Amino acid sequence: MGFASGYPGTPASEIGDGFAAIAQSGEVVQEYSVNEKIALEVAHAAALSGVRSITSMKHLGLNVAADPAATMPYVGVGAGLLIVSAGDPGCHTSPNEQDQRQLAKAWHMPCIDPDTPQAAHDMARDAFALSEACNLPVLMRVTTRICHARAPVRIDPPRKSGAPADFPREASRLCPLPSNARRMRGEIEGRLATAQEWAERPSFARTWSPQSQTEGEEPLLLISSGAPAWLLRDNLEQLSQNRQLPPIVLLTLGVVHPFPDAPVLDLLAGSSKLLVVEEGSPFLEEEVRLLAQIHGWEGEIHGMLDGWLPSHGELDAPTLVATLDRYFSPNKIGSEGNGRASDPQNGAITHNSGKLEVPMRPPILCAGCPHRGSYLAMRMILGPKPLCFNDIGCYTLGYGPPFDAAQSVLSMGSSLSQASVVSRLTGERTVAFVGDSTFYHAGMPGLANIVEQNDDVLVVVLDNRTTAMTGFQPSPTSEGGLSGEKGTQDLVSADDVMEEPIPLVTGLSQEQNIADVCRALGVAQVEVVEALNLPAMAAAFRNAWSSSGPTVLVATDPCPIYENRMNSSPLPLFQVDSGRCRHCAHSCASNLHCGVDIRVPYEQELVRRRQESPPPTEDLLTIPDQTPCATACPLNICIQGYVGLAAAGDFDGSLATIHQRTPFPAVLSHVCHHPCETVCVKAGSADGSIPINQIKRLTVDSVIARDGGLPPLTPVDSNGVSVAVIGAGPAGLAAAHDLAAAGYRVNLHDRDERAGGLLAHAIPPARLPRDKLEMEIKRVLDLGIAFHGGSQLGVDTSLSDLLTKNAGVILALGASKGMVPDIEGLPAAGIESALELLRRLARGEQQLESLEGLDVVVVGGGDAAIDAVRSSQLGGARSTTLVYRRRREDMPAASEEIEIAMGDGLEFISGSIVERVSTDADELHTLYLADSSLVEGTQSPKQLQCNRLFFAIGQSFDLPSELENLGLAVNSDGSLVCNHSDGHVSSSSATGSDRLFVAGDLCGGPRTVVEALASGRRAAAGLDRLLSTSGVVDEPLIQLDFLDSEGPVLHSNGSVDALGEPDDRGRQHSTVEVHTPAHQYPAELDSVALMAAAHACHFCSSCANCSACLEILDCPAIEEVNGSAHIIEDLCTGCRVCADLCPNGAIVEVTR
Amino acid sequence: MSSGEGGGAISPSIPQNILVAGTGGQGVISLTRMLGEVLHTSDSSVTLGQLHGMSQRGGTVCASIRSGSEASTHVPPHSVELLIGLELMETCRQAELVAEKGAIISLDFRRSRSPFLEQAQPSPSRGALISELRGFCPTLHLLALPGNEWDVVLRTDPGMALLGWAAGNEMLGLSVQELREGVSEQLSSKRWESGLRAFDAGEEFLHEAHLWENAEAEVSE
Repeated sequence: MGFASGYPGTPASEIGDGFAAIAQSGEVVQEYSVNEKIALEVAHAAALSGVRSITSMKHLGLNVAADPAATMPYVGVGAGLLIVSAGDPGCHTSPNEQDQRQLAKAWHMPCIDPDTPQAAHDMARDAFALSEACNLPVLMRVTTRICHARAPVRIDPPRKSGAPADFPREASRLCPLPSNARRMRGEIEGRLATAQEWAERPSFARTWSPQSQTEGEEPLLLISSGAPAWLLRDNLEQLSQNRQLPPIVLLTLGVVHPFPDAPVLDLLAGSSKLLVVEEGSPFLEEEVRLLAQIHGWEGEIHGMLDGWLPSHGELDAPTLVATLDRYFSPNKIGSEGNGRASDPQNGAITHNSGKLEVPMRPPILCAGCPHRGSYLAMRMILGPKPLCFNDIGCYTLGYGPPFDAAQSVLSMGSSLSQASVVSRLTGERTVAFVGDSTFYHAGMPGLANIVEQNDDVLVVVLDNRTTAMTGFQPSPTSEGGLSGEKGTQDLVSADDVMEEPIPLVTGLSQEQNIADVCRALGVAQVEVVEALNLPAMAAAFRNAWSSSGPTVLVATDPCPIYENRMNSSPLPLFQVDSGRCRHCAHSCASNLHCGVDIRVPYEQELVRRRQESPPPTEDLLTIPDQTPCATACPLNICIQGYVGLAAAGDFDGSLATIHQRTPFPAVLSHVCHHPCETVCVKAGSADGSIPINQIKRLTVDSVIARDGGLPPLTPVDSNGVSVAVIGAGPAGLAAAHDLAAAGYRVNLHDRDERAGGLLAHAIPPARLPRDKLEMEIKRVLDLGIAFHGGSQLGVDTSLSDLLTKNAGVILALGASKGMVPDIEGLPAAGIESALELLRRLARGEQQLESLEGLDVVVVGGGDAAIDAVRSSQLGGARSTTLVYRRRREDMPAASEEIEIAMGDGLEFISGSIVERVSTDADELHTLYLADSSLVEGTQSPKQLQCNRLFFAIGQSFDLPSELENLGLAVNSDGSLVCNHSDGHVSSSSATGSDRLFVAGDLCGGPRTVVEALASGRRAAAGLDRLLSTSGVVDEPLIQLDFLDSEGPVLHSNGSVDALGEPDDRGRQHSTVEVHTPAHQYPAELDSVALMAAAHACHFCSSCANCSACLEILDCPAIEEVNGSAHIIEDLCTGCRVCADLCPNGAIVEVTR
Repeated sequence: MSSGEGGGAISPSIPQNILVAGTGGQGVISLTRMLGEVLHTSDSSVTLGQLHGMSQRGGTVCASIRSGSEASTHVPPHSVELLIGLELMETCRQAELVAEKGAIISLDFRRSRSPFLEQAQPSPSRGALISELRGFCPTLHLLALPGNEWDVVLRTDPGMALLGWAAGNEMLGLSVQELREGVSEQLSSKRWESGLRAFDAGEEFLHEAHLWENAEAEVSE
């Protein structure tokens, strides 16, 4: 023979590789064709030119070549043409197990079915002669068990091809125009008759019997072909060694179409029982049954059609032996003989039927595979939603987690077609992945169709410069291209190309080819990017996805396995710095691991941020231990954690992250003054800081909307130790929660009948929805806390008594008394503190409508002042005026609140104070204003008239006299002298007061809600530690190391550093003069905008729970060892994707 | 020399059925081909069978060496006289095929699977795998990876070390010298030095019996 072509495809790939090696000697001309259709057409043309030719492909490739194949028998061949098509019963490496024998029959093509490697050689030799004798192409059907066998084969000496190539000028023979085609069809019958004569020759139709069998009885007949015939002989030989077999005659057919009638009829004449052994389809059995019917043979025929053999899958030894047992000893089998054969293993390697269930180990992308970079970048930029259509090749391994890059795989090039029409019908932009070889094979027509239809598809061509899956055959983008001469391998070793790839002759790099082709097909936006350059890949996906219409990304990087085998230079090596892997500065109870079960989407978020928004220094090793936002948070909540989880759609995880620090996520989401946003690294950007607290509210609202509420907190077993908390405001509730969660018996006292303190009694419901507040209070109390409502300290109970009855006491009394200045004209009816107004409104003791039609003046600049203004406006006040001693921009109230109030008609008078008030008989107040001297150039009106005047200028304590009697030291602001780190009252002579702690306002002046919550937690932890050191409990039960100190200091420039002195801290926030400064959020959150904002979070620090390299990279070179990632040196190819991915900057390059 | 539990005598003749099991990338196909070529010099009826393709990408790989005039590439159940395993779980996967008087030699090594697969179905523990192997075949030998010079050798070419050990135990029907010479002819230039070094290291394990005993002592874990 003189010409060989083919397209690689398991299990046929080694055939082409073998001829590629032979071609080095110049004995044959060989090509890896662009696809199977072309491979067949060029081989046919070579045969027509008088050159014996062979073409090889897998069974699916024969479908690609079906168009020319079906017509070739019409025009015939010149020299012999052998089409080798390798099938895959059992789907070892294929999506189906079609039986090519059926195609040969449909196409009027002789089909040979060799049963051993030697037969494959011998029949291939004879097939050329057969092809020439009948002037038809011959199809050789082989299967995996033949192709992947390695056995001694007697090889004939090579025979040179005959005369030089000369294409015949016989158009009427070679052009099957209808008039010619009708004639040609008739001619085929005669050619097939010739082929049948060949099929019936003993060299093709061979009889065989096992070495040991009885004689004299009617033989049991067997007919088979291909690999099942080999399996059959193998097992008959083994059976004959162990037992006496009945007389058996096996007829092995070499040519299965045309069917060799004569030898089969001869066989049938000698017996009345026949078992047809085959796999794939009952091809032989149908022929035999037809033959028997025509010739009146009335014996038994068994096979697939009567269920003796399975209808699908690869025939295996156990199934065959069971069938033979049934055939040889029907009486022994008994009733079981009427059943159908069980399914074979269908190619899956699923041995081991012992007690242990050995889980499957499917293939995954190799270490260093460039496709991993492409898939990783795709998912972290596009997220989980976009539909991805995939194709046939290594990249099929993008199927399933973590990349989920294959919602559909059908056939070569199908990804583009599927992505095309799905995009058009659904209106969604889709993604089509295709390899470089497949792009040229069948992808280009699909892309042309996408362009023609202007479909909204992102096509990603994964160009690794070789056909890696089938053994590193060249692709058009390989160096040297498809025409590159193959290297030095000989035929003997060429079947193991996975181990020793055939080197290619180097040539010009052609990676731009695909991009050029795409542009030529009409794609306007084509980008070529290195697949293993993760930042570049991410940017390319971002850019491509933001476009519309046909877009192409060519992700190009060579297959590292092939490169490594061809290149002896050492590869780079990366290792994990265990000091940075899974590290987190949030040192909490679970010791470096926050315990939140983070999932892949979160890790993808982590990685995406690293690519989109690297840390300011762009040096991952300088990633701070904590984010500025978490550092600024009085509760030290892992904000990047819950924002990231929310961005990943994991609201449960987000909520769990907040829960680690506070049981009041819903309350905080409405009233927190969010110092985190002040220090957000994006605060100075055009987009502004991340709306962290609104994202918290989105998390809470999402869970509530889904579940009807937040999940209950989990009670723990009691340790039997009683403690008391006085004051059920935020600080007291937080302390009570932590103590109860640690197992203490908590007695929670409050002078009000309902718990909540100022949360319930002062903050307007419009700002803090009561259903949420009550839900969260109930969750805390349901931990087993004994709530004593209406129990006022100094009236209903005493501190001394509580200290006697409890192991410790936490005083969490708030600064609940609103201040009114001592000026002329006061007190007067209709003039009071804003806090009193808000308290009555909150309690329902006064309705908003009572303010309707009134002129209201509020004095102050904090949120209580604005709350009073907003309440008046909501109640229908005729006018609202706010008098403040400084400028508007100096107001501590949230600016957006002020904006809302101004929008509703608030008049603002700055730089003024109320000096005197007069009230007439109708309770109309005249306010006499004076300059505050704090604002230059103030031109304030000298008088104002109003019906109501509310002062919001500060709060004071209303403490029982018992505290002073106990000798507790009091600060000038009314708070108690204590250790600010935990609220421990250290200086007292009173008995038991060394077990007294204070929290909230009483621990350092009026504070915000979030600070009160943190203060309560600190006091609880302090009391717990005290009780452990005093032996009341065995060891501290509450681990709040992060709250050991008071928290960070916020500088005016927004930066955060270590702690200041407690007094500084107090002064810092003393300007926050009201109870709960907070934003007034709109009733409905813009969830889309918030999710977009969450996606924009930088993730400024490391993460202790990150397993990104393990879970979203899925690299075989990375494994988990003792809770940390570990890189297997032998497998690492140094692709650096993991290093670029690691959110903690823990993977570094080292010397190999 | 350690003979493993059960102490079944290994036939000095070439085994009729040998199976090599491991994961893609460990060199299962290469090892099988090499051993098959060597055995072919003594037995012209050797047939090798292998299933690869996608299995090469870290997945399950298994290959067979059979002898006999009609030996196909299908390995019958309970027919394998020698199972050579490069990974413990993959060895266990094929253990059912081992004959009653067959032997298993395997690296005491487990290659981790994808976390997603582990989540769906956790891999059995080392102890469970070894117990299972013993249930199938009493003649079980485990080659541990000690943390010394052997470590490098065995990591570089563990299959060759197993061959060396099997040859030293007369498990392959060839003398150590015959097998070593045969293997040296098959090794590519790139692997020649490291391959023979690993082969010799495996053979030398015959004199390091305590390592085997230690490995076996842990079976009861």
